[in-house]
Amino acid sequence: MLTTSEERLALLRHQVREWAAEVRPFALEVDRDPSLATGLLHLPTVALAARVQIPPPYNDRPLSIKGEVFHITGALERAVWCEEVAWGDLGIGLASPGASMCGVLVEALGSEAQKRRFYGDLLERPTWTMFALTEPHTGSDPASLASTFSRSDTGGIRLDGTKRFVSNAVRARFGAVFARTGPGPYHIRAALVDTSLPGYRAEPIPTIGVRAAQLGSVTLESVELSEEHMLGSGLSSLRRGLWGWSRVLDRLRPTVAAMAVGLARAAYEYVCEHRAEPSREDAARLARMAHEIDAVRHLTLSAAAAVDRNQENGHLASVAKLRAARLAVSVTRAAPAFFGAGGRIEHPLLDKYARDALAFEFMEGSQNVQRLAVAGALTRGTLDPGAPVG
Amino acid sequence: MTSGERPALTRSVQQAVHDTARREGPTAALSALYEAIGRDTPVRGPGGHALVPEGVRHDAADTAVLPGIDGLGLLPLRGPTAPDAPAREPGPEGGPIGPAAWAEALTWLRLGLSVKILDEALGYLRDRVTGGSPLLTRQLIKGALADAVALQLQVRSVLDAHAPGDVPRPLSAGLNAMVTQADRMLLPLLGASGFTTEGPGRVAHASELLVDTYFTIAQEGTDLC
Repeated sequence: MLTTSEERLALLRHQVREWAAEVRPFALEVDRDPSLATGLLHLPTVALAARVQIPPPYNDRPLSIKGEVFHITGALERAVWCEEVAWGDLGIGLASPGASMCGVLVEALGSEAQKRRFYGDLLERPTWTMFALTEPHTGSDPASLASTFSRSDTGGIRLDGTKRFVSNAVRARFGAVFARTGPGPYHIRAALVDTSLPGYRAEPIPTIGVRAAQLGSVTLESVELSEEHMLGSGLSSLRRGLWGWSRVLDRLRPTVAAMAVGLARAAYEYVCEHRAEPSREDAARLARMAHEIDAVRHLTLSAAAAVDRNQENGHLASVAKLRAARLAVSVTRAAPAFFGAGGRIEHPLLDKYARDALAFEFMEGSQNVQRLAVAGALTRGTLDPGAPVG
Repeated sequence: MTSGERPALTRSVQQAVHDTARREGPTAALSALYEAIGRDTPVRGPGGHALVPEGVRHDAADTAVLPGIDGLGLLPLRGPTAPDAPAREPGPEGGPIGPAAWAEALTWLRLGLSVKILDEALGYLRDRVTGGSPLLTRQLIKGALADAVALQLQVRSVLDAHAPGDVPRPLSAGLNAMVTQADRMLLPLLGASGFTTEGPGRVAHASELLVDTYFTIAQEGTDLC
């Protein structure tokens, strides 16, 4: 058994990187035809994604590497997993089955019965899930959510609304859907919705990047639910409402930052591998890229560790997401130019990386939302640039 | 004008290409440019690559697949370095205009596309309400808009200050870097709507492909990170 968390994480990183390399040859093919994403269960990271990120009490088949057991439920383990998976291919990583964002919400707000059913279904067979928050006219601003939970004629709960930019919306078997029970921040709830229910309809939205994830729009028309679908019923309205699940998003943010680092690293390593004998100037630029990638990885891992120590430490995750998204965009845009004019045409994987990186501009909160979060933490005094990071 | 190079496009043609780009997007603008120079075969960049509207005659075997511009009616063509492509003379030499005039025309075209992205961003930000007010009223948004518009106007002022055909190719490259920078400031303001194939993100992507095809990094003068 390994004694330090660093050794455990190094073991995890090394193994996931090896597996993620097997994904790379499929990246362009699935980018061209996103429907192929569900046929990749023979790839280790795709198959494993289906059964990791499930907490110990509910998972008797966690990931085991050289005798070390990983559930990939902590922010730090998630960050390492996600960086390597995104390095293999971000689109296919996001298109993988498993608990993903929905799982984190169920873990935080779900009842014992909901957790048993949700995780049990995931372990029974590879299952795609979704996280439906964003709406057509208001984006991901929770205060402006227009979807509603209301009393149905039969005494149950009726769900109506429209969602947009939901990853895996078309292929998900179930997922979390956010709506309001009334006005104000305490009346925002989430429900675990089975996509086979009458009234649920999903259609793909063709996108420029991360095409494998097949973002979709979801229409919910009189979807009949019951109390057992509602998440957080046993919790206070504060904990199950906006405040509660914004903490969940804080826990997820370092993993989004880690994906951005993984993508940047993929582009950087591609250049190093394919650019024969770079000029002195190019070599200097590549060295700067490498330093920047390392720096943002340190920041991201610090943010993940901070969230693991205390879920209230979400502000550093916003800092990491801010820097990592910028890193991914700038590195992937600069990479094709190392090959001269026509770099994107000659190296379509680099063209894909540049398109994929655009997703980080809005994934898990826009860059402006992160800026405001960082500025808010600074003015409240919860973020002190003079103190050790993390 | 270098020896053997044909006369540049007139200002009215440059302006028309810009306006077509702003109104109708990259494919219509490139088609207008090909029509203006009277050419129906690909104009190739320094590496032999080309980005052409569908009507331009080309060898189908040269066509590359870049899903980011699917549905736009633009075709990326590989250069002579591709193993299965026959060698050919790079650059638009032999066509009705020379490389410098082509680069200048592309600058007008890409500036028009950038203004198109700005137009669409303004519409989106006016309509999008969060916290009870349009996004357009937010300081962070207004700041980014102002920076982008300032860059666009800077490019326009340089183009206006030069007679048609007087913009040296390296200057065009620098101006294109500024256009790219403006686009990159605008795109994030559109949120996920800038990420759909129907949205302005695809226009920005096509515009970056034009730069990638017809300029080299040294000419573009961009910096990393």
